[in-house]
Amino acid sequence: MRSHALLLGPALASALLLGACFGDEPEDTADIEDTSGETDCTDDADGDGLDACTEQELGTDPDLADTDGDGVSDGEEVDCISDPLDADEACYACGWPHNDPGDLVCTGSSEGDVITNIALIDQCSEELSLWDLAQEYHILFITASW
Amino acid sequence: MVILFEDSLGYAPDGEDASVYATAIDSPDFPVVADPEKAILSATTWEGTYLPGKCALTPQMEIIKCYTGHGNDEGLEAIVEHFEASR
Repeated sequence: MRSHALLLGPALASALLLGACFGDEPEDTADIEDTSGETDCTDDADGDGLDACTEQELGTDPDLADTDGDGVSDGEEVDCISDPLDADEACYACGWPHNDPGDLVCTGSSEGDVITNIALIDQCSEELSLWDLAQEYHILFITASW
Repeated sequence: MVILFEDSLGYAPDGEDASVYATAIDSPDFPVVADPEKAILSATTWEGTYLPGKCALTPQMEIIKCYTGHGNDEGLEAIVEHFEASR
């Protein structure tokens, strides 16, 4: 089972390492509590690769492998940096991350401006939103095919 | 990333062109994309007159610099300079 501890905040990562969750627990986690009353973080009832505590943190359904019903399991969406709660967002076939932070605003086309979010067609013949490549430096090499 | 501005005949490129190009450069782990609408022209200061064009972007999708030519040094230097200034 994958822990995904590195993708989560320090507090939850600590909780995962300690094997326990803290704070309020949803009502439907009763069946995954051990005798001490704490959530069993090793439990993956729906087999989507996310343990119960990770599902709780993400807000996904611990008993439903594909919470948003887009055909991609919650675990796979986390792995490809896609939102498992957004049916309109799934993994890119080529594996690109969905790194659009959601708060970008195009400011123009000059140096210092935030570039507009253009739609491009990648080598997997899938539409790629430029802003999904955020959070890393890039050099756009603009050329012709041959 | 590579942006195909036109195909080998000067027409609008498509996903197949991107796929062929990616295969020809040993299937890199970065995007090779087609820009059939030539959207990059209005999105940057690159004028499209000469190929290749280059634009360096920050992780916040800000345009650092656009220029024309085969060398990568100019873009890499701009990125290093931006990175150093933002530390």
